[in-house]
Amino acid sequence: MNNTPKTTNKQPGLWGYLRRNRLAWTGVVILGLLYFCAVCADFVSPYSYLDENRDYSFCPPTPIRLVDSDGRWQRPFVYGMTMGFDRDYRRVYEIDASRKYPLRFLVKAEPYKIMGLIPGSRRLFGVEEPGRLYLWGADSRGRDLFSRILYGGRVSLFIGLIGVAISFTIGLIIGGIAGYFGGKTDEILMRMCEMFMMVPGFYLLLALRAVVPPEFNSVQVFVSIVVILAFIGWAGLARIIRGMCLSLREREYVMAAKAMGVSDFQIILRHILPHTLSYSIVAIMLSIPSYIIMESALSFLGLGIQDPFASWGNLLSEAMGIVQIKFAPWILLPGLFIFLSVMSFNVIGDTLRDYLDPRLKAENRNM
Amino acid sequence: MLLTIKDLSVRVEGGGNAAQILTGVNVSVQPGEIVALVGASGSGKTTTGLAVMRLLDPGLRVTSGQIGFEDQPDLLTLPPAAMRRIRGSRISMVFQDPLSAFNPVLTVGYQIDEVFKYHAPESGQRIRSLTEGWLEQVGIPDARRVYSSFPHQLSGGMRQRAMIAMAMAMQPRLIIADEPTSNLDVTLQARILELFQQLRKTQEVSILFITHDLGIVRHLCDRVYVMNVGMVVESGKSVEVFEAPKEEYTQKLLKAVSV
Amino acid sequence: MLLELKNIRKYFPVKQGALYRRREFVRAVDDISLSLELGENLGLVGESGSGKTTLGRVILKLFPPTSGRLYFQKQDMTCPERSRLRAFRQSVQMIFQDPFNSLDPRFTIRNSFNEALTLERPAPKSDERQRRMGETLCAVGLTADVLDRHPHEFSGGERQRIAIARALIMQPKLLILDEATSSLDVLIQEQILDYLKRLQHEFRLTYLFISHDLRVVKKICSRIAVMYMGRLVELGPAAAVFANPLHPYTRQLLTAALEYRPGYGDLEIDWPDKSDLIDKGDGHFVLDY
Repeated sequence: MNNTPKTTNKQPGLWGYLRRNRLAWTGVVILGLLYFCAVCADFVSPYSYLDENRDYSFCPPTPIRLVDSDGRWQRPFVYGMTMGFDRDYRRVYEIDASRKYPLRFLVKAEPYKIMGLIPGSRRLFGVEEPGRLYLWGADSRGRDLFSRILYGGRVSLFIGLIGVAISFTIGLIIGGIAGYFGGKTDEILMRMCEMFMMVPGFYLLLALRAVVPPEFNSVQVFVSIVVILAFIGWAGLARIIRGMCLSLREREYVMAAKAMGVSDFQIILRHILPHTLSYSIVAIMLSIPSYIIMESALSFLGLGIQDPFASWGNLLSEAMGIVQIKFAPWILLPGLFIFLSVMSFNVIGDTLRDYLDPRLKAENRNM
Repeated sequence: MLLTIKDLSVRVEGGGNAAQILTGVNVSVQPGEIVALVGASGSGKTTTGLAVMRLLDPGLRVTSGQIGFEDQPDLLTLPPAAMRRIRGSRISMVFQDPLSAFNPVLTVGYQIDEVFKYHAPESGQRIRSLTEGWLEQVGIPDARRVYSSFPHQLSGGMRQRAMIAMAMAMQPRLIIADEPTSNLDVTLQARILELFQQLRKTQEVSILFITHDLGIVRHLCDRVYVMNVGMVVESGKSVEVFEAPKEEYTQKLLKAVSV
Repeated sequence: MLLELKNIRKYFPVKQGALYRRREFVRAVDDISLSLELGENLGLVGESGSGKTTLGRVILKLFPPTSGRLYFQKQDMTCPERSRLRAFRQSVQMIFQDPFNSLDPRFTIRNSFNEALTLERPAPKSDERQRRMGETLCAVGLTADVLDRHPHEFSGGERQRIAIARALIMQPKLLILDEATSSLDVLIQEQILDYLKRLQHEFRLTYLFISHDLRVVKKICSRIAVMYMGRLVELGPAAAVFANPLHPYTRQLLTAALEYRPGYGDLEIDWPDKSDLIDKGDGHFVLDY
């Protein structure tokens, strides 16, 4: 029982703590960048995800040069590429130094709407036709991989967020009700939970995906995938929330609220669930990666997002053959992005968990 | 003189003004005495006890003072290995909450055996019979059953007795008891206090009794040190301090426990 | 007569494995009959396991009694309908032992108070709320600037006072104090007891003071009820019970609490079948032993 006054303390410590932890801060920066690019993909990428050119199938990356063949300094530019075939009928690309395409910024392009809301018609950078800028190479249809990756981020990154939002909500509600009421309600809800957890997740995913009608357009497929993922993901969280609620309902402020006559619903909503937040936030951070990977796996197998839409998973499906990997290794790059985003979420989640660990809390807050 | 704490000052590492926990504390304990450290929470009494055992929080630093014990001029300067030999065998501690002082996954008997294994290793059989002997001495009727029980299986009173058995195992000269009865019911408390009195008589052990309850002090302790905000504000024979408390703080404490 | 309990029992089933066949019960409260007069301060004493806390919770209607009846202001409150239950809840409030947890740590003090005020019918408007919050805080010696802070910013004693203010803001008639001073520092205890005495006068409250600390009970209560193993073993004016404890358990309890001496030998009590107390005159009752 301390008689010393304590300082007011909300959450300013969290941001500072994250910044001080270099690994976590890197994660924050990476995620911030990825999400920004995903949202503003229309602007940041030089091409739309649909923009294809069969003349440039599997074209290697076109480096941006500053010095031309005569050794003179120039504004950044790109050489043209010509496609030829070698003796084994394999494609070979040669640099055509005669064609120079300067790099332009705020290039005019086809009009688009960011996230369907904000209209625009310029892109951050690009080259004039007929030059092609392939920062990270092209895929089989000559579509710019860099652009496709940025657009693909939309699907992969947001499926994680939306899926988690849905399953988190379901898990909180069910866990909260089961934990607070206990008894028969608890038993029934938890058995339900266990049934969901029993079924191997990935196979359930495939089975549910098979049930989705084939005539669904891509957006509908996207939504149904999110729903399916959320459907199988809520059980684990619900169990843990239920455990926390079982002990939280014994707290004296809950009894005080009951004694005053506050309704059960209000008590769960305002007194019990907010106290599960510290655990829940960490659980969310650490489960978003599994959604990203699930979606990638589905799309990789051709069951998720379909061509021509991009997602990191279905971009990777192009890399299924050894021939492609040997001769066009850049198509593995989407994998790097999956890795980066998953790692970032994990690192931030871990750091959050350390921050919220009650034992470290006192020291962290004072720092 | 068994224990002499001289001019002990402890502060929080790197803290500001509020960081001085103890200032110039002087406490002494004679062989066979029961001495009380009394004060409200935050007065520094527990810190003093922990300082003797050198079990202070890592964030606290002793800035001055000496703690003489038996023939050791200063416990604070002893190398850690030597201090470990003293802890548990010459000076031992009884804590307030026996449930957290015992490891919940080990039986009580095993944990008391550990004291012997560390300080006076002998055959397992012999150690076990010694432990059971002590369990009986502290008034536990079914020593054999309690030996194989886990801490949570015992009642609060039994647990506290088991902890006292653990403290007495190596027949220390000094026991530091930090609020050992504060979590217990009144009737259990009376029995534990009686146990302490018995132990003092039969084992000739001295007790440094840390508490906030002056009533216990009057009943059990020979001398008392009253602490407030890290300083000893009054000291003397229990009887004298109770008859005529000099400090206002002591008077307030007395009034709080008067009936 | 403000509150009357008739033969209240509260048994908790002890589950025997998954079959639930043989039902054994923990008799937390075993046939208690008690009455509380308006304006008095009844101390309910007992050690852990005596059932005093459970009895307090049953009175508060946190859970229903296994059997028995409860009368509040002469009305049967054992199974009331909603509107009466609401009025009852407003009139009977509890102060808990743990000042750290009796207020939701995530709520500001204002939120905690508002939660209480919102339950009134009709709900008071915001200027009336502000006024009442200010008044109750003043009554416990605090000012309105505590309203926008969080519980962890206050010391134990201050938190307990805030909890008392929250209880008072509902304008209750009966206040149940469940070990309300037990977690507090000895000196702070004195302060809180002073406030409680004053508030009882000022607001014409009735107290049910549940405690294991007989010294505190002696200071503040006019009548004492002693509980042991779920039964009421002695009941009477505080002065009489302290001066002349009749039941062997009471005697042992008092010797331990006031003189720190244990009773001798184990307590062998012959529990009678009926829980009727024998009248020894002057309002002093004892269970047959």
